[in-house]
Amino acid sequence: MQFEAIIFDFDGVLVESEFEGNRLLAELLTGLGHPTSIADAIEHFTGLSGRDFINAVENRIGRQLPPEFHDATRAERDRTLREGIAAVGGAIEFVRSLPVELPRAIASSSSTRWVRTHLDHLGLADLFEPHIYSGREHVTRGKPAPDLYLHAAKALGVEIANTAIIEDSKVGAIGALASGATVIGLAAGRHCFDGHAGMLRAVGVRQVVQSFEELAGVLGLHQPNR
Amino acid sequence: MSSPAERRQAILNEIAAAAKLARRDPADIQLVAVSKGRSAEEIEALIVAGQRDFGESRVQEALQKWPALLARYPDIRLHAIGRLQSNKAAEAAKLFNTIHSLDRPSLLEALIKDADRALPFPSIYIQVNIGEEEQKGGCAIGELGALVEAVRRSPIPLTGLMAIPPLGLEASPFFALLAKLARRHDVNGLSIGMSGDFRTAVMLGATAVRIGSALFED
Repeated sequence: MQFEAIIFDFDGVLVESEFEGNRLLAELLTGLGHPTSIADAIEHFTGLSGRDFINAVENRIGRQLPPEFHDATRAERDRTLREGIAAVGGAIEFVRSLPVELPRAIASSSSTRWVRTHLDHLGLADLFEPHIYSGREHVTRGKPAPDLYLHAAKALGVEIANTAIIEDSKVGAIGALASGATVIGLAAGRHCFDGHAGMLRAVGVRQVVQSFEELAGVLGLHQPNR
Repeated sequence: MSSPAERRQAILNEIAAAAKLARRDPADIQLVAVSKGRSAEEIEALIVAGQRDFGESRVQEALQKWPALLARYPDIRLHAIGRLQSNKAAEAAKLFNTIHSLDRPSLLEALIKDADRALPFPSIYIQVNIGEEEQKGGCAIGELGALVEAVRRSPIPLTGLMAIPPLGLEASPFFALLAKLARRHDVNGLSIGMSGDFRTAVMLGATAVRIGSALFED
């Protein structure tokens, strides 16, 4: 397949933020006497933030979270911003191997500040600037609306129909499919357990790949030298 | 006429003298320059003199003045010291490092709801209506315990208590009462003391003093 441009989701596609956050959450809840696996945490709490997140956790464990929980998650948040998060395996090599003339953008539900902070840590910011778009900053309706992908394609100066979107989440994939682009599901992150590909296919994603090497093949790009 | 650097140093000297009398370490007391109503030029003169903590009362005014200054001086810490509307909470949480005026559960909820994970949470002082004045901001003394508990059960870090004593009355009994409330609730920080009474506040345990006119005017 040949595309004019590639639009990437960020969390869970390029960085392991979904896995890292849920690992800590599983540890904390288990420590509080509520045995929780990483898979449980991913299933129930991915994509939630702020009060919605706290409510979901408290509903699940059936009581209020103690101050120690918040101290620990706050310390982790500060550490993450300071030190960064690991890249999804193969992501850095893949982005670096993209032809320089191929337009690319990031379309994320996180803030541009979050995306830039972590792209900087990975040394990838220059390969995307200035095309970093946030569902909470650049459009009124975030994912699962298609608006953010349409905004990114317009900013890149490409037709959405000739664009490939790389998504790992159900919510993102729904919006990406609605935009009219070709959507490729990526189940390469450590948060993608058995059934992840099936979950993406169930919302209509026709092609799901398990690694960036496979993605390069599907996109007709040279595989990165490793 | 004194320069901004001279005025700042004079206040730091007075803070140090008051701290010494109270056998406290002057390094434990943060000088917050109240820059509401001051121009970017006046503010920058203080920044150049070494000032890093600044207090603003209104989110809109702060948004007009500070982004450009913060781009040039990224180590500045901004403090929100005025009454905050809940619909400004998301903007306030992005701009301010510390909020001195949390006075109700709905504002706490608004700060948590839209928190951006790319930013550390702002730290919080709970403002107490220490003189039980009808027109003044701050939570009622009787509601403080519940608000402290709500902050402790949120991701927002609790730094301390803040109060503004009634105008025209001796401030020290009110500062002492706030310090007592802080001990009762196991809270360390005290944001008390302004240009007219900061020496007293330091002697009674202030960890942040909020100074405007004495820093910006002769």
